Amino acid sequence: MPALLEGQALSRRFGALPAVDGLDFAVEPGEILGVIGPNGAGKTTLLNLISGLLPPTAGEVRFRGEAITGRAPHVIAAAGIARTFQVVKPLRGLTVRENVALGAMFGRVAERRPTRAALAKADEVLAFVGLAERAGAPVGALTIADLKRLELARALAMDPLLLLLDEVMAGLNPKEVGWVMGLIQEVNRRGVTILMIEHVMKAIMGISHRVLVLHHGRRIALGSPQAVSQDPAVIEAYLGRRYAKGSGVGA
Amino acid sequence: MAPEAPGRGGASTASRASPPDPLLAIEGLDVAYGDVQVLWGVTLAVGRGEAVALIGSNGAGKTTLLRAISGTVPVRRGRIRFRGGDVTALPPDRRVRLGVAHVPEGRQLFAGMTVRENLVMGAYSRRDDAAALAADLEGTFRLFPVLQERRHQLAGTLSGGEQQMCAIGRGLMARPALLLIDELSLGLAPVVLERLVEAVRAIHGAGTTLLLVEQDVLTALDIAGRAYILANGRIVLAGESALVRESDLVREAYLGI
Repeated sequence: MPALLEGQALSRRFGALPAVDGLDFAVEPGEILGVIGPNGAGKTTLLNLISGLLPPTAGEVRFRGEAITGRAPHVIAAAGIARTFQVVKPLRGLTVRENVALGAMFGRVAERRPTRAALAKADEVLAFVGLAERAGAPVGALTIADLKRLELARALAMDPLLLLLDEVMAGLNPKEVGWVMGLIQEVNRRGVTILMIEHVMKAIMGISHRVLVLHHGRRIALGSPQAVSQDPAVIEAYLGRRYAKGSGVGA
Repeated sequence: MAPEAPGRGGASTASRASPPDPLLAIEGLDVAYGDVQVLWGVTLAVGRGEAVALIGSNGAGKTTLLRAISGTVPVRRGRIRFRGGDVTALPPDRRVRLGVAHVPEGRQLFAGMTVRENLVMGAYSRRDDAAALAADLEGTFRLFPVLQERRHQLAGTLSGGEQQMCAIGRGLMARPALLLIDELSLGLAPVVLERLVEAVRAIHGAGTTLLLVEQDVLTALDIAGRAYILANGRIVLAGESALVRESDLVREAYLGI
């Protein structure tokens, strides 16, 4: 099966700094692909390149075989790629329900809904993420955990084929992390392909089918969570050079 | 003003590896930046004369914990005791006077001041005489001879290793009982780091208690007798360095598996 999303020699520089540096990658249909790496590895930049927030300085992104490189974010969203943001920014003047309905109105083009149907879709998604009883609340009244659910709900209401998640578990307690892990797996089970960035390692290693490890904008490993966690290059990037040498797993 | 005499029974909530009469005892510490909670119920203790490492991956909360100890971030819940007294609500300068010095991540030198001026700034809160200060300056120069050579040079023009020496020297000039060092190894070549590790060992050998944050696990375990591992804002493992070194839990704390 061809990849759902592909990057070829994808690069983005900020001045002299290559944040993403000639990266090749593929997201297979139906999988959960985790992207990890130390701070500054280029993870969020990668998501920004895919979702059109930033144009790449070189290379190509293809979605369902078609080049989407440098397209505007709303065009990419219409094609079926939705994303969440690390720092959530819901529309403060709207209720929880209205925020989610906007997703249903401006998501994948084949699934776009008029207002009433969008609100119905919002209710369905809010129930799914466990926010139904907060539907009428102003977003300012939500806790950080509920804001993260809202962020996820807005993206899900877009009916994406590919969902990009940027640290949806940051700031959550372990119980909430467990709950969100289950939610992501359920979204995936319903047919949505997922590319996720996460610092909560137990979570991302626990639910990813494959893990892509970035360091200084380049790929240093790709494989099952088990395999990458034993990879000397990964251990060196996270625990230091000498630790990798002494751990008896290579080098 | 002065802290109470060292208390007894302060270790009741600490882990079994912790000292009976801690210089620093932290209990149930929560710290948050706005809505985002970074530390969750952190409890740890550092005994007099110990060298303790705090290790964990990026974003685990190590720097935040050091900041809470030096009083540069507010604490949401929990308690910090130093030399038996509760310092949780004290401003940073008061903690410096009680004997807590912080060598911050990225050194944070006064780049436009000379090396000597930076070192003297470390003694800013001291109330003793010029002779004591001069003697400590001499001591710092003995530990880092290159700082003496460069004492009239602007700190901003030093190499990375020299800057780290200057930052540690500035911390020592406060005559701390407890020296907090954040990321000793950051950006340093292995040979330079080796030299700094030696110096930090000498500081410890001379009686200063150390709490060391470090991403490079083995460097930390080389210096420290005990270590705590932080993951996602929680202590997930504590123990003797030799045991921590052998534990698979270290890799698990960093890599989740």
